[in-house]
Amino acid sequence: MYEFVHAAPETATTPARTAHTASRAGYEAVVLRNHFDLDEGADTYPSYDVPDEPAIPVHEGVEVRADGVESLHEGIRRAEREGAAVIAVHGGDETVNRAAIQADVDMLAHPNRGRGRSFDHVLAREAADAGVAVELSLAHVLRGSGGERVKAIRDLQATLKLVRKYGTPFVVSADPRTHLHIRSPRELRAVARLVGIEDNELDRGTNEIPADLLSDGDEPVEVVG
Amino acid sequence: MTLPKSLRPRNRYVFFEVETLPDASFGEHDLRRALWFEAQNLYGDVTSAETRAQLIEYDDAQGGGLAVVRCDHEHVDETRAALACIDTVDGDSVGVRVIGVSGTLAAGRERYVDAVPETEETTVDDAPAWERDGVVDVRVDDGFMCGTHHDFGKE
Repeated sequence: MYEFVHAAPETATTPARTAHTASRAGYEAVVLRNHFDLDEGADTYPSYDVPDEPAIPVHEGVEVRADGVESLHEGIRRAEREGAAVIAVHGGDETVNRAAIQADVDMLAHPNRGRGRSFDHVLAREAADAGVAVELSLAHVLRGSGGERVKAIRDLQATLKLVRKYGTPFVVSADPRTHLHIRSPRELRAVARLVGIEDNELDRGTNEIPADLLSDGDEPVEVVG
Repeated sequence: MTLPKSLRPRNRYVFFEVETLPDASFGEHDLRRALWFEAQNLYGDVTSAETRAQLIEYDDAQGGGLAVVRCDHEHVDETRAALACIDTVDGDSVGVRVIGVSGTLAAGRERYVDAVPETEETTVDDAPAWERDGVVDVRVDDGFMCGTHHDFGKE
């Protein structure tokens, strides 16, 4: 199983520690996806201190976070030049979601944040055609409470309905920010069942699809527009 | 009154590791409350009653410890979900990882007695640090930096 994580320098847990904890929890690999904030300057491109022999394989990806389409494209080009293993985009805004799918990135993280209308049937179909994986993030289910969690589960179920209908690839992640956020595969499965993600869907979203994303990482990303 | 053996509730004992930062100060009582409230919030009174999840022991040590939850034998999955959703206890961040499930308390204790490594105090560049099983938490200005020997130059 794969987990998509944030690590130092963005957080207080180093990539080596993340790999160590994830390995103990039962994961087979982690994909780093620190934010690359275009709007805060180009020098924020993440650099990771990954040991030569981590506990499990550590793939160096990136999550591009941008306000507008132009800066998003710039960020995707930069990530491509840097040879990111997985290029993800920080979703949640409809314009950014659409631009990310049209730019054919690897993965659109948490597309359905906010009022649950930033990811719709049109985007789900386009993502399916382009082969862009959308993320079903369990972050707020695991670490939220009350109204926040209710909203997160609703957004998750709305996204799930769309990806089922249009066959959009998706990944499931707890989106850990520190080593303490990492939950083992069986616990993730128990939570996923409660919110309506079926076992075979979880398997695909944590095994096959992440492996696909990593294996076609060499293909150039085409930036449209 | 004792029920015949065939009618007695059947239990499972879920052994799990609680990992914390070195300055966490909660105890068994706080963890019990956290589990109780998490189950309530996640799936409510009805499923909580069926699940019967209750913390029965927490071996509180610095940096975390081993804990045991007793639950109904058909509801281990719900127990796992509630445990996974425990994010903070009494304001301290916790990492929860199930180590194993056992049919009796004695068997589980025997099997998982050494599952959680012990923490030792040390220093890294004169800063207080806590080390266990190859991982190191170092105190920095606004909290802790959590790494391994790779990060703090001990290899």
